Amino acid sequence: MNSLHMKKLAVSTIAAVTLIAAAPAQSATVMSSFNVDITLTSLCSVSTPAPLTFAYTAFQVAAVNSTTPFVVTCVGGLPYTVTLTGANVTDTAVGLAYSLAVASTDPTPGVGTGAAQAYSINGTMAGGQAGTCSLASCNNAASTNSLKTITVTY
Amino acid sequence: MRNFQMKKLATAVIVVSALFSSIPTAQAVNITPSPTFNVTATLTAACTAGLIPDLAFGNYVAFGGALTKTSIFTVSCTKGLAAPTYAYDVNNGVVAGLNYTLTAPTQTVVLGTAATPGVGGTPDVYTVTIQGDIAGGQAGDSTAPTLDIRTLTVTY
Repeated sequence: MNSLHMKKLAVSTIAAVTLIAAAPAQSATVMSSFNVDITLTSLCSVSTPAPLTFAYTAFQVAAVNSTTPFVVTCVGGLPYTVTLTGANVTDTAVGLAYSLAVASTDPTPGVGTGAAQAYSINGTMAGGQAGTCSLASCNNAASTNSLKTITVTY
Repeated sequence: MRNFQMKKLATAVIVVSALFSSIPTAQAVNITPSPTFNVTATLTAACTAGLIPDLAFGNYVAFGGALTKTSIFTVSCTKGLAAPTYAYDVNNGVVAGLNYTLTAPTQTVVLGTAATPGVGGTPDVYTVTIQGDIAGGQAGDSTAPTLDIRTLTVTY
């Protein structure tokens, strides 16, 4: 019985020594990756232009041109459109016909850049019109179609 | 080899599916509230007169009867403006040694049409008649000028 115990002890000792000798010294690096998820809600904004003004003398030969600027600011790369209501009308107060158009001097109109893009409303009133006015001079303060709306769709 | 191709196909299908699912839904959005602006117009009313044809008396027989002639022209005015008035520089004169008188112009009007969307209206158009009279029984002067230039002022 004693002899058996000794044998077992001897085996255990040898095994322990072997294990220690087999384990080399080393450092380990564990890597993991992850994504940064971003959800960008596209957005555009548009400024309000000043009134577009016409000064017209009945029967004048030359057309009258007028312009008023505004800016559109959209997320970079976002396509958009700019439209206008009442672009080709006759003023209900002074009876003068005119046309309006949206124009831009920006190199990439209709595509957002993240910065303000220059636009303008250009108006033209043809020459040779009589108009309607019972006084020497009239304005269109009572007009029912002078208010225009700019719509930016993106 | 067949296994590899199958694998590539499966991978491609998955990638394409992933791309489609990552494209946001196209949706038109308007900026609200949409900005507005006014178009303001100031109209200075006016009238414009056409050319006045000569008031040609034609042949007058010395010591003969009276002669009456007219000249007709048009004046167009801003619709709604009060009717224009007229004044000669003087109401009488002498031509070919004959005294003549001018009577105050008379006029009729065709009112203009209202403007329609995109098209301006038409003006009020006045048809104006000038009348000249040479009384009968005048001798005249065959050496005198046969032309007398007069001025008519249109006020509106």
